[in-house]
Amino acid sequence: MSKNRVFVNAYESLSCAGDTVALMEAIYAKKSAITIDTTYMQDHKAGLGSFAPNEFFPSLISVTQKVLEQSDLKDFSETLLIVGSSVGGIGKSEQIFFRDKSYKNINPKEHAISVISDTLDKTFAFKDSRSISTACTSSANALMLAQRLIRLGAYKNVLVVGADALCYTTVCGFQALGVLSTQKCTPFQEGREGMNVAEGIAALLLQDTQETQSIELCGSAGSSDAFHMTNPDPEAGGAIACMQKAIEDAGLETSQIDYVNAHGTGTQANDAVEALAVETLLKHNPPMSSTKAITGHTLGAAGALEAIIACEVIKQQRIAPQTSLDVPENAQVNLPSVAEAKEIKYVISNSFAFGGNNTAVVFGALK
Amino acid sequence: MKMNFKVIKTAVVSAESKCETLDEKRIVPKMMLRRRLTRAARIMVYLADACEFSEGSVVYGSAYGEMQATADIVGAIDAQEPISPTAFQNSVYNTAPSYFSLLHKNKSEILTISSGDETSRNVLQTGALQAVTNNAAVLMVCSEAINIANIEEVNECTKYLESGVALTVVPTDEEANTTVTLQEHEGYAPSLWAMLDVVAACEEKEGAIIALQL
Amino acid sequence: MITTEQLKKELIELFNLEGVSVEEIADDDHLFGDGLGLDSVDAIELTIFLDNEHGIVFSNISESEAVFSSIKNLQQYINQHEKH
Repeated sequence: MSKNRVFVNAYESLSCAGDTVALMEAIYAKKSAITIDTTYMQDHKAGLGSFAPNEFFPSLISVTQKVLEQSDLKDFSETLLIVGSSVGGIGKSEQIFFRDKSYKNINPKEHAISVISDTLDKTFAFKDSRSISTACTSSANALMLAQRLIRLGAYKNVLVVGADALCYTTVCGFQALGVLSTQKCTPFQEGREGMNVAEGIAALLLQDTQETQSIELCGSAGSSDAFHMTNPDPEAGGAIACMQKAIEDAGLETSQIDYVNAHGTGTQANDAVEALAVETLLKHNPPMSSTKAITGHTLGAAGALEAIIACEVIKQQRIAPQTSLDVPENAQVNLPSVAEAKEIKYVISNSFAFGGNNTAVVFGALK
Repeated sequence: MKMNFKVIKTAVVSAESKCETLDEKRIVPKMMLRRRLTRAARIMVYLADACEFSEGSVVYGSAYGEMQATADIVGAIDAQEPISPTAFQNSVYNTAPSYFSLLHKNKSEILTISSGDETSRNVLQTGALQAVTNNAAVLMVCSEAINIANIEEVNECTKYLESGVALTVVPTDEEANTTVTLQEHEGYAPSLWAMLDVVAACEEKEGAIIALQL
Repeated sequence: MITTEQLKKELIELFNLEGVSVEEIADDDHLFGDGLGLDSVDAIELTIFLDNEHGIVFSNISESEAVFSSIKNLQQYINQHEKH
């Protein structure tokens, strides 16, 4: 059976920090793009990451268009689309229900996760499409499946799109769980308050052909905690397993990882467990940071957005520092305060989700 | 790219209103876990039990996910009442397979597809990919649980408000011996049809081998 | 005023503890961990319920921890602090 290598050949993103160029500038300047909102919940402030209102669906098209223009393809007729989204069209359903107090005017097809792929398919006519919805690992799992399909030779081109819009359900839902922060989130900080919900769109073109600017998607793997629906296993078993398997899938030793782009939501539970996982598995203490301090947590889009960040870190050969960190809770892990220029060959990007779903993806510079 | 798979077990369940024979107390003996299971989660663990599958990789699919939890949350926001954290944790599309994972302490890769009417077709493709990747059996389950108050405001064609289909497959080098034909399955949400096609072709047929697209 | 029996009925309904009878819950059972076995998500549900049904709001987590240490403690706290 084929065992093709898999290359990331084009990508673009939109987050509260702007496009990919603006995002990386913000990351290296340690300038969070989170704003403090008072409109979603009466009497409660929330740190959120948003674009301008009503920009989400038009931006899906424009971000994807930019990837097409960057690529060597004239269209997506020979490309599989894999979407990762947690929210789909819930935002529109909410607005209709709040206005009408009934479901009558809700189009089920615009409520579902598939609204993302349907929107893109109307403009771009993909060869085929499928959509993954595993909460915060959605687009990381989409990358994992894309890698497996290309590696086997089932497809030559796969466009992975991670996309989630802000909506009342997620903002108020995370508040109900007691994990939302009233300020800009502070991943790995001692006494941190919680996460910032954010919207994001990220599209990456994966192909079996190598180009001069390619970043290789070397390996990936998933696991399940089987511990609790929302609390991660405090012993980090699931997180360690998926990182270890992803590194093995990449044909690497753990000591070869040069940078960890953490899931790092800023919640008490996640960051403690993730720091423990990295401390336990990556004994050479590579630099780690969570760029959610800049972008917030883009839920289903996080895997794809942070994959783009991982690719950029390799291209720019500069570590992404940890923004908004004063005193780390875990003094053993390496959370750099400076955007250090150094040789970066391999990066691992983590995503952890409700249901104890864990996914890790490893990216590498061309050999 | 097509590959061949032996179909080991199949199962289907449906009800116009509520599936009454999900045998929850036997399948989920711990009450503290059982109390939280959504309708979709109960259907999922029932189908997994019918397929005798508890360990190994799973691909789950649902076009509409956890409608009751979503309706509860949006209703509470609209009424300016507190939102139940249980409802929020139960509102993600991967809720049902996550409870399956908790029940069986299954630590394998567990994926969820939600592609509208194409959901079960994509579950078959993704299940096939996972089976080939792991060279092991995979459980595929697709379900819809849309029996919520006022669903008739948006539902015109689905008779079975609760339904689910499951099959387990393992990769094989043997030639396919069963052809799967596309049919309409009246009363079932279209999101289940592709897997119902496979079940129709294979149930009560020992050693059925089918070709699946990756 | 609420008896421990009434409180147990409320908790059985709130947490959907199907098949659990009032007699099976002891007055000195801890609500979390080894007693009733509730978890952190249940804790949030309980604080919402106490606010809505009994007008009780805790000022901090350690205050609630002491109250949740047994059914009897919770019952007494409700009877002392209930507002309608």
